[in-house]
Amino acid sequence: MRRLAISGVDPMLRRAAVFGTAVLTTGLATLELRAVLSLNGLGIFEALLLVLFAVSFLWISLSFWTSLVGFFALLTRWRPQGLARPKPGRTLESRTAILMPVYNEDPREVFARVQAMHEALADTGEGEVFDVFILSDTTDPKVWLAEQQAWFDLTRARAGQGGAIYYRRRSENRARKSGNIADFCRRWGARYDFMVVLDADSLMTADTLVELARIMEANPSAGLLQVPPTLINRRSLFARMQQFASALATPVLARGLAFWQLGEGNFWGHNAIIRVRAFTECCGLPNLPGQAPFGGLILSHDFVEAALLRRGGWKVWMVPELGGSYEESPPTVLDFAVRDRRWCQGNLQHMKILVAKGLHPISRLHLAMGVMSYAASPLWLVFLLVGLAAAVETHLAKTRYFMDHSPFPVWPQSDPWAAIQLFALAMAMLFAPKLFSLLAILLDGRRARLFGGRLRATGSLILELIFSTLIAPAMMLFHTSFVLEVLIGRDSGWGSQRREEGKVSLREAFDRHRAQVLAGILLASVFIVLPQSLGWWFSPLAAGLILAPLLSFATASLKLGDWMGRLGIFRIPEETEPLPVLRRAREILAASRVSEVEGSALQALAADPKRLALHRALIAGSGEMPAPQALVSTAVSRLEAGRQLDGKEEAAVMTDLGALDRAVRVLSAPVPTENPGSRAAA
Amino acid sequence: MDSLTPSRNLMRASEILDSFLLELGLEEGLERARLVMRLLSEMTAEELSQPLAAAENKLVAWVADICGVDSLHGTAAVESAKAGVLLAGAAGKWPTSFLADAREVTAACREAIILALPVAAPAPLPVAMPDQSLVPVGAEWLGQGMARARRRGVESLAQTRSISGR
Repeated sequence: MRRLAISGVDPMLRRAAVFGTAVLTTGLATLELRAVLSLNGLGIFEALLLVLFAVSFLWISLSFWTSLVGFFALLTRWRPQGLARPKPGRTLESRTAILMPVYNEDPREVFARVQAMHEALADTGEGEVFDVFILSDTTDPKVWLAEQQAWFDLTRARAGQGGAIYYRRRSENRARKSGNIADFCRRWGARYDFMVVLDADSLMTADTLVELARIMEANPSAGLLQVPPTLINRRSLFARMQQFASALATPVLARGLAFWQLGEGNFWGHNAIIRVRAFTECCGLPNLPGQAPFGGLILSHDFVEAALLRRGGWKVWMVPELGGSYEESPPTVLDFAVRDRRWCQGNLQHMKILVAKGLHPISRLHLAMGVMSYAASPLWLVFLLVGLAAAVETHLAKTRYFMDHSPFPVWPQSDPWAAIQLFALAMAMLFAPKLFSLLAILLDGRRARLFGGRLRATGSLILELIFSTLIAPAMMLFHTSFVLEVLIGRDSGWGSQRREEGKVSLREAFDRHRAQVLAGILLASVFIVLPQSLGWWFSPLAAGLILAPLLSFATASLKLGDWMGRLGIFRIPEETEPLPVLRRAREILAASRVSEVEGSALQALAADPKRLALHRALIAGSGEMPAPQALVSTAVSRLEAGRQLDGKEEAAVMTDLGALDRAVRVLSAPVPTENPGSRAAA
Repeated sequence: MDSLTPSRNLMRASEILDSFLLELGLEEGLERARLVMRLLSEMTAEELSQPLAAAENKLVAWVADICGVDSLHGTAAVESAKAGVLLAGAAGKWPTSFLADAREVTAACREAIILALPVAAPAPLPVAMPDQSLVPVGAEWLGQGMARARRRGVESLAQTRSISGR
């Protein structure tokens, strides 16, 4: 087992500084709130408010101090100490596999990105040491065929240039994405020193990929290097805002995190390079005891894998200064929420892992922060409800001016100025990461130009803050409902993320936000009994909830997004100076000859001998077991009886060469024609 | 069974096979015609009833046979050959080898065929990936912590005593 060589004092001091100031700020803010609340005495509501405020404020405070540190790290071009940097231009001696796990994604887009990266790697002169593996868990038989065709075209287009491009589809999706990666490690991992794990919508520049491999070579104790991805490539208004916020804040926040994490960093699931041996030795994930959602398969495997690597003595680093790491945002608020539902379940499951033996305290902190990122919403909701209840109670209670037979009146006291100050402090700390990021841009003319100029960047941030403030109550209710669903044992399942844009109707928006609109109307009705001064405090909340469907609908719009794009609002550096690899991926996508499969997958195989030959070749060479014989036999029998097969049955038949031949014979047989004479007689 | 007559079948097969070979990279019309004739002469009447698939399969089997691909890469190689990459790469580059009566092909051609095989994945090199334990810390862990603290306390006390000479 490897022992870490980081000096013990330095990380301790950094962490003490960040966490100490966060705790101190929280303590001071809580005391201030106590002073505000205790003017008329502390009741049960007020005490509860204080506790909820302290927990929630600590969360904001930690983000504030992390971003402040990140801001200075960005200005001073700080790099994590302890991570050796290789000499530029050093030739790679290692072999790296680039893993692209896919699950019913659009193959044209996936393979366009793969080809663009493959070409760019070849141009660096280091392409030979990077092999690409498209690791398919696709269940839709038509998408499966399209993937095969796309892979076939790509291998022909790239033959003899750069590393190999492999394609493997698993018949059975054991353990989802983590199982997909583990399957690679077990079968081919021994052939490679490192693996770059991507997501289906990931894109990385060749320079970054090569540099990652070089840093790994220069740091034998490094188990994983995470390059924080920024969002690109979308057109809807919501996605544009996400992209802008990500491009703005990621450099600051990631540097802040890297400052105190050092070699105890985290894994974000993709856009990271991993030492294969370390991963294979340390990251075999067990099933958790009990039933889903808390038991069974570990869903958010990335945090756990980072913790296990660290437990095994390997360092896990964040390298924010590299850049060249991208992914795509969900196109709409609703898609964002759907993804959050999965992540929520995965993160809450970490409560079970948080206390696992042998984990580093910082790994436990990462897991706790993951839990808190969703648990914070119900806490804020309870905080607001308790605050509202306390306000209503105070307002409705009869004021007693004379206590204990005293002849002197006791006037009810309030300190609105102190309350406003506290609110302003909370808001400032909440928005600080983005404000620090904007400041960093305003101080750097070159970067400001990439964001469309100082004025546009500032205007964009103001609009983004207004939107994020308005949509926050809806997201809070979404997250609260997700947490409750997980707690009552409802499993989220495993759907693929919708990646196409412009698909939310007004009806769908109202349907999905119905509960939030009702909550907003209910909240607004409470204002009737409250004085106006108190009503104002809750008005953004009520407005956000009532407007949620309209916000959701409007921000899904491609037209609005394009319009903003033309005005230069929410512009990101990758739009001002498009990356060659990104431009190339778009060109390839536009020229893609891979078409959607017409009819059923089996019909397509029967109609196209070359497609059939390719499919047979891939099945025969895959080493995968066919689907269960009972399922295959039943499906073929049904087909022979003239029945339609569903996707699962078709996929099963397509895994078995014998069954496939029978199916193709059935579907290729000439259709018996009616006797013209009999038709005429009829 | 197709209702076409044998001669019409032959023409149809010839046309399809010709366009197939053109797509695979055989641009020289004369060479294509020779190869088509040779393939068609080896096809049975039944195969001619389904011209395209039969012709393609015949071509693939023939190439695999004369190049010894089967013995080099097993069944998967033959199946892979069906994908057409082999034909595109080798038949397009060395058409005369394929058209020659002799069954020997040049070493370069053989190598090109092997390299052109659409290998979907390299041969596995299996390694174990053991499941890790995520057992929660329990009372014994706390006990160990307490014991460590006690031990430290005792050592510290002993050290103090030895310094003070008691």
